[in-house]
Amino acid sequence: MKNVDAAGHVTGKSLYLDDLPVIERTLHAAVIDSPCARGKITALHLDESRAAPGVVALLTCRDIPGENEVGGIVHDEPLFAVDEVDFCGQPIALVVAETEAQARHACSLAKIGIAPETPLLDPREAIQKGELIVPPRTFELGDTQAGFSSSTHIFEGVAETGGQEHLYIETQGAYAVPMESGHIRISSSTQGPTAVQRTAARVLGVPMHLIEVDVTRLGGGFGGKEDQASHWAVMAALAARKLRRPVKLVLHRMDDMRMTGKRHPYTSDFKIGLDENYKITAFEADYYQNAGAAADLSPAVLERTLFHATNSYYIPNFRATAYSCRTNLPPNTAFRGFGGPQGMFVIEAAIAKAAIALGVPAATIQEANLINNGDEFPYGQIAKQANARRAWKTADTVYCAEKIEAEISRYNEAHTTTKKGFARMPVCFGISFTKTPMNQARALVHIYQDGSVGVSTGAVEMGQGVNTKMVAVAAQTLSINPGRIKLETTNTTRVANTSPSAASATADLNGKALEKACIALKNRLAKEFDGIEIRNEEIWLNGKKTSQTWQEMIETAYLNRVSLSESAHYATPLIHYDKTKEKGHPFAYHVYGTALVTVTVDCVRGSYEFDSVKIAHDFGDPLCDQIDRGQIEGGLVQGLGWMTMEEVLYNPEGKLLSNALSTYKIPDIYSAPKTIEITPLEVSGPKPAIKKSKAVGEPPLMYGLGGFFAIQNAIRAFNPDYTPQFTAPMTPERVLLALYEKE
Amino acid sequence: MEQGFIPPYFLDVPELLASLPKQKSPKTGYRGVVGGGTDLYVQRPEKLTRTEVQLVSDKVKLNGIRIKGKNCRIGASSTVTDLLESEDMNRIFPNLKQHLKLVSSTQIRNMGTVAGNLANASPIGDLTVFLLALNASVTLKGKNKHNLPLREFYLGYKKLNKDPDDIIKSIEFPLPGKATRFNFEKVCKRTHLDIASVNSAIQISETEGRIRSVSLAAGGIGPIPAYLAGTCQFLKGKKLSAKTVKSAAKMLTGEISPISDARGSASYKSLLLRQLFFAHFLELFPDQFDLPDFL
Repeated sequence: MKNVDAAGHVTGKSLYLDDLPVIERTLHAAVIDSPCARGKITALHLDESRAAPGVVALLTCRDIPGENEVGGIVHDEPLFAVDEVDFCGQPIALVVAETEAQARHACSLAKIGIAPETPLLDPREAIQKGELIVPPRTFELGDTQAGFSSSTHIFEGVAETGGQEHLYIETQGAYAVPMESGHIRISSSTQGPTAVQRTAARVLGVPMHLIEVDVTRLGGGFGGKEDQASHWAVMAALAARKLRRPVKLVLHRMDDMRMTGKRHPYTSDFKIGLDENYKITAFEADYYQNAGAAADLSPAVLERTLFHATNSYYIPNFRATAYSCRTNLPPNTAFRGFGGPQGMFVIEAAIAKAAIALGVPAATIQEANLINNGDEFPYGQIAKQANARRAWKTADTVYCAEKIEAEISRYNEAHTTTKKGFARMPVCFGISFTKTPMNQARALVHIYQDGSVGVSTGAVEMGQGVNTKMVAVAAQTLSINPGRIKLETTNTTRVANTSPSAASATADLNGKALEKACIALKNRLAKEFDGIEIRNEEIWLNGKKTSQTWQEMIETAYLNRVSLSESAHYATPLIHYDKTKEKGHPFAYHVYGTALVTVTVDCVRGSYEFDSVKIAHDFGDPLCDQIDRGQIEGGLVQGLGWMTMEEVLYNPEGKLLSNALSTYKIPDIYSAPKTIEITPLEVSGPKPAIKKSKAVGEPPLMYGLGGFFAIQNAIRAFNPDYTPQFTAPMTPERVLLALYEKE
Repeated sequence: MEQGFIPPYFLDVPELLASLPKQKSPKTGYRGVVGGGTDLYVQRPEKLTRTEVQLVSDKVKLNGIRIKGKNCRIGASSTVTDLLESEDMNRIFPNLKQHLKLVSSTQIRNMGTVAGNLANASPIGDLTVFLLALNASVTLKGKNKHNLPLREFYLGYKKLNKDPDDIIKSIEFPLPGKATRFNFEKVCKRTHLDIASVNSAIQISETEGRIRSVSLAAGGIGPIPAYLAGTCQFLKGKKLSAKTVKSAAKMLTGEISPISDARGSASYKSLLLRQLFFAHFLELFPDQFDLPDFL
């Protein structure tokens, strides 16, 4: 099935927040933010801003009727700074003016006095000063001490990964409209409509039912709008309530880059032990997460790092501890993979380090340790339908991995100015929110008298194609033409208490609820009409096709006073987790895959090109094959970007240097691999996956990690003296310095 | 349009453009003159939308690329696309398309002007480095008209050797001789549509194994786009050999003062310039040199 948004997107007719028709008397807001990463506010000179042309109001923490608090997991983040600032870009005040230009101009007139203090930027330094967001978490399995004493080889090292800017094409924004009786309707570019609703209610000091949040679609989210869309929506709502006029707040790109958090940088220590057959006997790691100035989603991200610390491998003796360290950066937040990629990088670095020291290909160690059915993950879940080996073998055979490797050796012998590198990247990613209560969803289906269908769920369309999947679910379940089905906006008054569209679980959770609602409607119609069956738009009775159409049947049902609406709720069965023991069964299932990455490094200039990435991926039974392939290609390229050119840089004062599209680079079409091939595993999907079509949002991002190790291998082919450093991103700078290390 | 990619109103665009009122009496003054605005409007959008400016990109007198005797004259408002589409330029520089593909994007190349790239005074301006190696000069006009070698145009970071009223009318460079070779190199975080960490251009002529003349320029290694006079002087008259190239590379590093910033550390930029210097010789004399010769 084609993406239902395709035509709208290519003709520019799809609506985003900034395309919504503007209501008369709408005001525009802009944010005054901290120019300093840490310090006490000594003076707020805002009179000039207040007096600037067009300015209607200037709001600070004093204008908040409810709580000055936007923290979700931990209540540690004010909407507007009070006496001190904790990061550059922290909102201090909101200017509301007749036009956007006036609001922005007024912001530039603000003078903020801050007594600066030395900011804390390094997570290892933060932990020494006791700056932890939450207490550390430890996952354990077996006995690492015994494991290491039985190891033939032991290696230790450090692995580091950088931040990543979400760079959704549509920046953060919201439009709040005051309705009657204190009701405020917010249109928001958010992945979490309920988070916006809950946060706005708290800040405004009103019950949640007075806040309505509506989302048409997002121009990209990638996690950046899971929690951090709330701030701007709440500000707009605050101003709308106070001024009784519609208020729109859309961040400019540089404001967005400066004020919002990114993927968490991590620095980690690892120790790996192997026996003579390259079986990993023990693994220990300590992960230091750079959380930024407030908790945001950091504790949850931290948890997923631990869940994915063993990637696709079974490690009998395991101990990993993760620390969420408070620094003076903007609060870092969800980003596709949600801590998983950071965890996987460390185990892959440990394997690479061991392989180099032992003089064997990393693949030898990787393959020897792939997880099998019946093996236990460190968090107590037993692997079922483990497709790690199947994915590995499929990639090996379909793409003739041995042949690729042989060709690369020949190439490297024959070339002096360029070298090729190759790496395999197996991936195993758990599907479900790791916070069990979030694994629930609702759907509301209306069949109208004319046979057309309206579907509301809690899923937010952000380019990932979830609306298309919802149409497919409803069409397949009702057995009617997809053209009859319309996906409504995501709205908190139609579907309440939603989980954010995140954790790759959106299609599963909302799709299952939708499927339930459609089955209930189908059953009701069957009951009303003597056990009829709908088969692809035709009405069958007792095994025979009738002359009645879907439309006629619906019309009759309406006249018979049959309810043609249904709301359903779904909660993922079987999952549970006990944080006190750090054991349980947190994931409905796992998604597996293996990528083969080939890169060519220009040894004169230090630049590189990915020749190909060939993937064996665990789709299950894909509901929308094209959409899933699009997610795999996009995730892969985003992962490669994180590993190569995307470099979030702050100066020692905590100011963002990579603050614009001229200094922060994401992959373009030229830097995407020349070839991307995707082969599905020939294996059916598990029951908790919607129509057995496995979740696809996050897992492919981690194929990109292979890019890092492929580059490392190419560098070693040029400079055998290079001591591999496991510090990502592998920018052209790091590549060139590595090529000529120890010259 | 038939296939629905372009909306029908595009047909009326020429008419709409013609109906726009012509800008009256051009105001003088440096601040108000805008070429393509491809960098200015990104860097200072709010200020510029409030400023009255004189747009010069469609001024006929400031356009056109012409060969006159032994010189090539590029009108100040010529865009990068104009260079790309010029038959003369492509004849003189057979690899022009490949080189200019590394400069911004199609949309920016369509708007960005040559003079704008020079006046912007970015230490990593691609065209600036390109033209420095060609020994180009600029014709300035303010109170009076005069000509200045491009390598004397930059006094310091974003500081130009000109009166505020002077505007660039044209850029001239002597046509390269027959034995002359030219190369342009650029490395950035992302190969396309990115700003250079370091860029470099060289024009070199060699006969009978000796370097007869050489011009080398580089960006990203100091406060201004640099003409590397010391290295050029060293190379002139020397035998074209790996030894010469290696010795020159050592000189080169002494001639620059890169800083650490978002585009790379100072030590990286030094190393990168050396590598791009090697790349020039690998590209221009592929039968004579291989990378290991320089290491």
